[in-house]
Amino acid sequence: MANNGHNGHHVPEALGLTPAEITADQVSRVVSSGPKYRTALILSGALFALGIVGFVIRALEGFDDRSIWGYYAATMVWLLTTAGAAPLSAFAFRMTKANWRKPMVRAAEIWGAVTIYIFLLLIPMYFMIPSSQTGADSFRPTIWFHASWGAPHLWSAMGMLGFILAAACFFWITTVPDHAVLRDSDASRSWNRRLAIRWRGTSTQWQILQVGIILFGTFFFMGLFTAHFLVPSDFALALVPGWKDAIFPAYHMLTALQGGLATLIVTMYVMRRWGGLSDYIKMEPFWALTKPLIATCFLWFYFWWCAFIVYWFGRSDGEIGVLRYIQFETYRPFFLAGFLLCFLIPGILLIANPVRKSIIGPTIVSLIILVGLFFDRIRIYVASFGVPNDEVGHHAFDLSHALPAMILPDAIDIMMIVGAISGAVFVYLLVTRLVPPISMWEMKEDVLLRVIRPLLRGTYTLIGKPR
Amino acid sequence: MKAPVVASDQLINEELLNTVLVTNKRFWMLAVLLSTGVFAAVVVVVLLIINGLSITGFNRPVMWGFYITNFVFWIGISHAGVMISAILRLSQAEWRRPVTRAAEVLTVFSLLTAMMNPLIHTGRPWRTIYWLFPYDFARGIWPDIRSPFVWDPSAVFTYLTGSTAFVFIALVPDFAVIRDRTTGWRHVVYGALALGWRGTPRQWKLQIVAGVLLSAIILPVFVSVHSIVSWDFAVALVPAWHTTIFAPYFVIGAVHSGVSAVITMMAAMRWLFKWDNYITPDHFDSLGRLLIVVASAWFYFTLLELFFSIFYVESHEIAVWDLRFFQWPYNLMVIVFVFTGYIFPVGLWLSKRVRRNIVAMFWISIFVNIAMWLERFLIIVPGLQYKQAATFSWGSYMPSAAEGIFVLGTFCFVGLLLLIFSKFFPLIPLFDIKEGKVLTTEIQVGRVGVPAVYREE
Repeated sequence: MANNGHNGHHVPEALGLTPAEITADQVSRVVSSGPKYRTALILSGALFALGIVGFVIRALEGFDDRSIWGYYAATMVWLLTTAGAAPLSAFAFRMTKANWRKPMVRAAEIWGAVTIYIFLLLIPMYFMIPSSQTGADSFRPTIWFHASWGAPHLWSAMGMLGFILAAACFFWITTVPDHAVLRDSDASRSWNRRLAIRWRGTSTQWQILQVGIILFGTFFFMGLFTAHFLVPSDFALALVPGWKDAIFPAYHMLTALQGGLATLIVTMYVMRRWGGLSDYIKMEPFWALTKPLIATCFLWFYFWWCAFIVYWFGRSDGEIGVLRYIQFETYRPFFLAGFLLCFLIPGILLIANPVRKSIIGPTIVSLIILVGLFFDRIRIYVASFGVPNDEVGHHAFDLSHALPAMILPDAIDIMMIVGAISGAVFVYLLVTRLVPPISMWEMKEDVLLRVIRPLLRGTYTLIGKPR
Repeated sequence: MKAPVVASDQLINEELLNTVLVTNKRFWMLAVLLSTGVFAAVVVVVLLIINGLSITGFNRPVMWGFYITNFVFWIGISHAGVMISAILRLSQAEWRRPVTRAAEVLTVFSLLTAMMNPLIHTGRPWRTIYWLFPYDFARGIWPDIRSPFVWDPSAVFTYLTGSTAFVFIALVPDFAVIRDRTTGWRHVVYGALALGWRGTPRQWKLQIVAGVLLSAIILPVFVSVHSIVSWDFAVALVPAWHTTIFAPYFVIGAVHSGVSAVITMMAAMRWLFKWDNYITPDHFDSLGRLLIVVASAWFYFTLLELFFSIFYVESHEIAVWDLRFFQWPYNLMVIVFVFTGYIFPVGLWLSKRVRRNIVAMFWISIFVNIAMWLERFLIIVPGLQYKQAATFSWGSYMPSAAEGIFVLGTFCFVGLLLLIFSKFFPLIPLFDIKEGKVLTTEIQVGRVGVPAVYREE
């Protein structure tokens, strides 16, 4: 694809498949699975089982001591930040009518189905956080303020449930035409008939589909913001004395955008490299996704700096305590790792066009970001879960005493981390048996709307953009 | 996807240069009207220099009022240019073409206007030189570089320099067009400004590279400017000011008001210069959709500010919010601000019919900016008016007529500068419109012709 024109400009290739060939190829992928797929499924399933064992062992110790669950919380939130946010790319780039999105949208949307699994991981965490009547003077800060009934557990869980439902609905609505194709093929299964909801492809149905995508996509978008408002405020800010940080949910949301993009790029690479989809997923979406990715890297620094400078100038006991605990003393190694891997290294690498304009470059950068985000979640959630109950609700750490010590992972934590991540991969692989990993209807649309034509002395892609 | 401009290059030149080459009666009428407003503001400034700040409504402890509100407001408006021009250029949004120049110019003029406000607010503008030089040469006492009041001018002047370069680079091909259509001294001046432009492939390549580079470079400056302005407030320990959200909250609010101001200006340009073929309902539609996202993000930050100000249920924070929400006249302002800043505009923008109605978009954009002005006022004044422990003398701030006249005068000033600019330079980039014409076409899909655009990548 990346052949060069007469003056070095990028000359794109057409897909080279007809709509009928796309259908035949994608349907066959749903019906049969290769050895690589089965190996990945068995391996991820085994590791997932290992994680369940680790969870059961840890659960036997009880939920009262929150500090032993810090790594579980960090992993769960990491999954929410990465896999849970990946479908946003599918929605956002649909809204901007970006044509390059078409090979990658389904890879993003399947992560929407994985959010149900993430919600199951979240449920035990509600047993670990104190109620709004706990802490100093029977008060702990919460965005539910003085609501005594069900706060924060019930209200927060309801908010998260809304997000999960929106994600699942968004995933489903985008797959309806493809379910109809599967229904009408030899590969038809009962769920294809049900999920296709009598789709015939009439003009009215196409219009309803567009409205549905916008509607559920908007709900998903709003749900994602809600999730990244509830989780950081209930599971982090509320637990650390003096951590009154209005930008933090926005920072959390930003890291979700960053993590979602990085997850999608890595997913596309895996699909291309080992999933046999290199005919569909070419360099264009990798290159295009690096533009928002580099923006999120620099915004990571900006959001961190905005919080830091206000705390640094404020210098109240609460502010100094928070800075010392989660950034510059207790959890400094994790903070530095996050700083380097979420901002500095990817930011510098992505400035170079040769890195962006490749397939392996964005993938490596995305892996770096995903690792960085994991360290960042440890810094935030292990630190927050490490604060004892009698400190919760204070306006500042007692700086005359030592801050809570850093908690390092033990073998059980490692089992749960590996198991939780493998579980997400396991669920993702299972979902690819339900729907094709490439959105057939959008790829066919792409075939119709993309033409390579000469213009003046060059050759360019001409992209149709229906009104 | 917008319908391409259907006109020959010659016609595009004639229609878009009509403001430069012909002066009609409406131009003079508007110029006189705006000049009157500017003159009234000048009189106020002269009175202020003679009488000092006693002609304002400042009252301890509220010593920041209309001038600082107006400063923050105009800095906000200046974010229109980069948002529209740089971001849309980098994202290759086709509909940006007729909008970019006016937005960039608005940036420059609003920055100039913004900087006048703190100067005048001092009451003795010439003394502001002490921001830059030691205020006691003998003892070498320099301004404190840790103060946001030193960061502010640095950021704003950097942004002004960058924005001016941004406007100039984009103007070079158009200067050449005017040069070739004028004679006498105007030919000489435009010739000098055109920097020998002949439209060679190398010159076009340089121009495009410079435009993209400046777009990328100016983006961090754009973010930093309003962030630094926000830190004037946020690094202080004033209740409801000392919050980490202020920087992005100010930036997104600035984009909200700036893009709305561009809508106001586009509607005015369409009516004034009869550019119906160039500024179409499609452009208002696109800006309306963009503003739904921007306004929602801004409202999200507004809610974050509120939630986390009262997160710890601290009495001093609650007191300021109580002042804003429940005390006259701030409670009325809050209602106006929330409804005209978010609820009504976004509710209306959800309708395609409204987005494509230019009269409706014009008035909605005006209301948004009233809300955004009030927002800045509601941040500044109630925060200062709160009775802190160490405050022994307090009163209420009631702006004087002089302050009001000055604020209105700044709007006239920006309008007048834009009008004068339109007399000498095209407010819609000629070359960009022509490029758009070349790059947009149609492809046939079945029996339907679908608008299409060429993409290099």
